[in-house]
Amino acid sequence: MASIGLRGITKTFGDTQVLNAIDLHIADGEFLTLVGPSGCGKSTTLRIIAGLEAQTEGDVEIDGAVVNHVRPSRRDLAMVFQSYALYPHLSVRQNLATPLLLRDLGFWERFPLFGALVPGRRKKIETLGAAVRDTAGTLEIEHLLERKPGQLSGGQRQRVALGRAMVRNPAAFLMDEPLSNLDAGLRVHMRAELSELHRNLGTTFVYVTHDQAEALTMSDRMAVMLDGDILQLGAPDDVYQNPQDLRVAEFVGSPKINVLPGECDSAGRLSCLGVALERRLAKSADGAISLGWRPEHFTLHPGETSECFAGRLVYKENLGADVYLHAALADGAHRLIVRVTPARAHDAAVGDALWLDPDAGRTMAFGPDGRRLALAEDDEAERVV
Amino acid sequence: MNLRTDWLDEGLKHVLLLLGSIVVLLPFYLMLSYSLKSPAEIESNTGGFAGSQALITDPRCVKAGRPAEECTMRPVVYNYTAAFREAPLLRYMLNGVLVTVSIFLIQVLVALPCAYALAKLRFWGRDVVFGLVIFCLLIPVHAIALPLYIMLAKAGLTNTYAALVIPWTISVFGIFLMRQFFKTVPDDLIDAARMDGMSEFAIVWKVMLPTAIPALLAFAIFSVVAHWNDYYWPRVVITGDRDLMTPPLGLRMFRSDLDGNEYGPMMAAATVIVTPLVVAFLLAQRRFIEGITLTGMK
Repeated sequence: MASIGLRGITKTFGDTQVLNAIDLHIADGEFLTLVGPSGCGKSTTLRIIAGLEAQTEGDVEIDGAVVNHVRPSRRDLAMVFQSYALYPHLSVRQNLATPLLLRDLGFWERFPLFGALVPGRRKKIETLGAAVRDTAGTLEIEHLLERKPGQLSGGQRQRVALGRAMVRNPAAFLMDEPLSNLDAGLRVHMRAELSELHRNLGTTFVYVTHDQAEALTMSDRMAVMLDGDILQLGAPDDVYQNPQDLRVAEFVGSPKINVLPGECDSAGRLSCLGVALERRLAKSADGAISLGWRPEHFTLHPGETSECFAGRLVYKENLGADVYLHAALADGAHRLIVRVTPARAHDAAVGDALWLDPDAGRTMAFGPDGRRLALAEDDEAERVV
Repeated sequence: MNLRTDWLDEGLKHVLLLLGSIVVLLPFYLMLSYSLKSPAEIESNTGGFAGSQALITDPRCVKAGRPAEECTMRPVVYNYTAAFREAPLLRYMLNGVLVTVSIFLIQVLVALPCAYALAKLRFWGRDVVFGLVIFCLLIPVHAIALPLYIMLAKAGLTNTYAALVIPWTISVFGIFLMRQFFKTVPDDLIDAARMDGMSEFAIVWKVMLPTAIPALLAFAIFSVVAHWNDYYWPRVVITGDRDLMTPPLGLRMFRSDLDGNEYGPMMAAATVIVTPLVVAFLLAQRRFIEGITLTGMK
């Protein structure tokens, strides 16, 4: 168990800077997810924590001690890779035992033939055999112990890879997209299992993924990364409900947040495509502002009003419990995605006119630089109107 | 209709393949056939593949004053006993095994770490070094034979096993082949080994070597065949000591020592020398082809 700290971590490959002075503190026992599109530097960050990659500048701390020059194996971290990276020539049992053999046995004890003569070796082998069996039991892979990785399915390999990480009780787990090679159903199942494993082990997890759904479902906190910066760090709920940056708002959530160009007058009153929003910014802003609503922040209005966006239904995405209506707005340039219940969607047919009423209180306003702009408190807004 | 054109197509392919295999196999057929026949049959080109196996009498044996019964035998027996009697074939083959095995082992010892470094480690000048490896592939052995010989002679190593082995211990071909194979090994596997606590050397021998067995087998065949069959280099550095001769040099003994018409024993010796290679190839055939196609994988 350990806390992990990154201070001013910078990484450059040649001329390109992939990490811009990352600061991050991961608490002991926390499940922290680094999430972002590919190429955002999340895997590099993880590899720097692991010690597989050297940072250009900055410090990595584990439990308060700087480990910049400590070899990966001495950092007492375990890593699970996207490709599982099991030793193909060793059986599952040997795969699980390898990290223990390397850690617990001395050089001479590992020496072929000669090693068997070293006193005390047999005892060690027995204890690590028991550790392997324990781990296999926890992950329910005992029946696979004698097989080679090539004879296992993707999900089974995934478990073995987890087992190889768990078997030596590391201070923290580092996971690099461990679920992205699994099929969709198994991925959802493993999400729940990983969360449970984290709860049972109580060890620090640092989890890298490009899948915002994994980040939202599993983590205690998630760090949204883009172009080598952490744009927002917070609880999944907070990141989803309260994105501090337009890019975060667009990355987190599926379907994507709806973004429309907005205007504000000198008093900060907001309007969008001619629809007045009865809200105003705490501080008036210059330049182009963007307004965002999640798909669930709209309601269908039965008839035409001036407070609604008028559009035409172009596509109906039925997911069973929810239906997403894709509407082309009357201005011809924008589209909205709206979540409704199947009952509400029942009558809507492609080509129908729709009036979409945005929940003004949920409006997220973003400045020209993409930063979130605060709305004035409700009572103030009313006063303005 | 279709079936018939298919037949024609397939037939044509097979005819071509047959012709090709005849070209390749004919010398071996002749070698085997000559090693079975009597000198008279070889000279008159009669007797089919195996000859009539009529009893013949060895004139040199009679001349040596031995009784006629002892000197009369089947041609096949005569050829093969003569092969082993006239030259220490077993000794030559033992030399061949010693030399090829030590060359191969040392080549692996050198090539694997080199290939690993070139494929998987990032260091300054790596591409230049790899360029040099490629460049060395282009240098013919014969071009550097003289300087090599002089160096070995100055070190007093001519007419030793060392002279047969040392010049071949660094195989740029081996480095190149293994590097290409190691390129296909996922980086994650190496990172996982590092996280588990393996040193870079341990990674080479415990992770890369076992995954590279097919490529290594292919390399083994290239290496062993080349050095088992090598006539040029042993001819250069083994000048006096017959005990150090390798099989191809041994064959030469027949040509110079025996009368012109002693093809039988000579072909018998040749058969004995190529047999281990052919057997080894047949045993490793599948892995060998796997290994050759490996570089095209991924």
